[in-house]
Amino acid sequence: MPESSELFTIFPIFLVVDVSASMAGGPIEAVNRSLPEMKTEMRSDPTVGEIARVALITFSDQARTVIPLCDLATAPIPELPVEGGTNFAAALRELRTAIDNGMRSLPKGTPVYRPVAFFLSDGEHMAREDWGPALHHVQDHDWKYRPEIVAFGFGDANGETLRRIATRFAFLAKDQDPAMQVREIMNALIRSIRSSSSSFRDPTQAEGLHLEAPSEYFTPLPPMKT
Amino acid sequence: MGDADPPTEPPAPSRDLATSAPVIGDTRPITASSIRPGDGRRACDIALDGTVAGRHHVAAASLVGLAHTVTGTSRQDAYGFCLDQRGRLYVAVADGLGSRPVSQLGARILCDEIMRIACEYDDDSPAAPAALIATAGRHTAQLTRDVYGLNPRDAGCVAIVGSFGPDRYEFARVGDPTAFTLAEASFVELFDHHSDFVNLVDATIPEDAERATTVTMTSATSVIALVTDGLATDIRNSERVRAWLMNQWATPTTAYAMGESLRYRRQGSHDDRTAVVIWTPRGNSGTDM
Repeated sequence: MPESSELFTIFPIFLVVDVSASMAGGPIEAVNRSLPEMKTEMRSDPTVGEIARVALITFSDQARTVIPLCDLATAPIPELPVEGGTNFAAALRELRTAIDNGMRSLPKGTPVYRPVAFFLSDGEHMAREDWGPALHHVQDHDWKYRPEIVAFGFGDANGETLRRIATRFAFLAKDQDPAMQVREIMNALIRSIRSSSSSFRDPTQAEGLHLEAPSEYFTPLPPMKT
Repeated sequence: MGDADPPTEPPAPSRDLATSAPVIGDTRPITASSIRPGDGRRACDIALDGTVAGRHHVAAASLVGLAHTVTGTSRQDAYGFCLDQRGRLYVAVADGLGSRPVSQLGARILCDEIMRIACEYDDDSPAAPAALIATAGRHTAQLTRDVYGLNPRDAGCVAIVGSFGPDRYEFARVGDPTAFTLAEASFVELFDHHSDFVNLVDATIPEDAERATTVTMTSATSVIALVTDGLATDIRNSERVRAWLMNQWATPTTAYAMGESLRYRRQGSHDDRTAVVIWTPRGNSGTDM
């Protein structure tokens, strides 16, 4: 019997990573070290690797989908360079496009978890355009693929902005060293993928999303109602 | 007695029994299972049954999922079956909610309470499954709070109950456990299934124990399986799992054979798997929502 008669459960995860100039040095190096580790995790833990499908979106003045939704274990991981300013509108527009494209690329009828987007930034929106409409578009309750958004901030990130972006969880990293902050964020992200892959189906608990961001490293921020 | 020294080398791989169960999709290597320190409410990894219950043959298996063996947490599914005072069969299958810390306890107590109430039933009509869930749900919350000193919400679960009278079968559920009939080489799900996302359920016990959905059918020749969602998802989405189970459950099984039927390995299938299968003695079926 052909494998095409099989529909495998998928947990779609979208990483939205700030690569603006302020990420230069330790923070971007920490991101670039963490992505291969995430790939290793996909290979070594079947409860993560068999379910999680990951897309990587980077943003600065512009945004782009660096890795479309895929099995990270088999995808080449590029080295991310730092770029220019910070445009949240571009990031959120690209997120919506990546989710639409990624979800439509799955075989029809594929059982899926609600998509989750992890938004990482060390700064504030710097572009002239208003990023409110793009945020509204990605948080649209009528959108079939509306993701849960988890926002992680570090460096000069603004807590109120993170609360606005997040649908469920927002965190500010505590460590003074930005590179260490990024490292802890990526660790929390990997732990959260694992626990959400296996600890789900509770309608009262974040619609299946289970975050593991230890309080010694993160200050949780209450998200605003979306 | 002092603390034991930690082992310096990992233990040798455990011996296992051979299986002919299929491996489906891009599966990745499984790491050895372990348990977490301080977990005094752990359920056993496997429960098996294969027996005659009144007019029916019943076989059941509940297998811990990979998600639990990898993280060292407990199987959260439970099941029970019994005959009432007039020999009518009752079956309960419960699934503890993954994110609640002692849900395996709630699932176990709920099944035990349903069986305790049902086995004493001696009326002309069988006990209604929805009423069994509602009453047992209240008892489960009370026992969890008063006997174990725990918040009943921390023991939350979902469940399905079936009663098998001489002329009519009735099923009620809260949450996403479900029932299938096996007839003419196909699985037919008795409850509606439509969910956009796999990690959402719409009702839980004890909060929604009074809100069970009920399905009835006339007594049937077909095989009936009450299952948790870990297995239901595979039955819905895998032709190879359906073919395997159809073959495995074609005739009544022993306890070990029932366990073997759930030993398949499938990409992304990591939840506990529980099924109680009933081979019914006679009649043709029709469902009635």
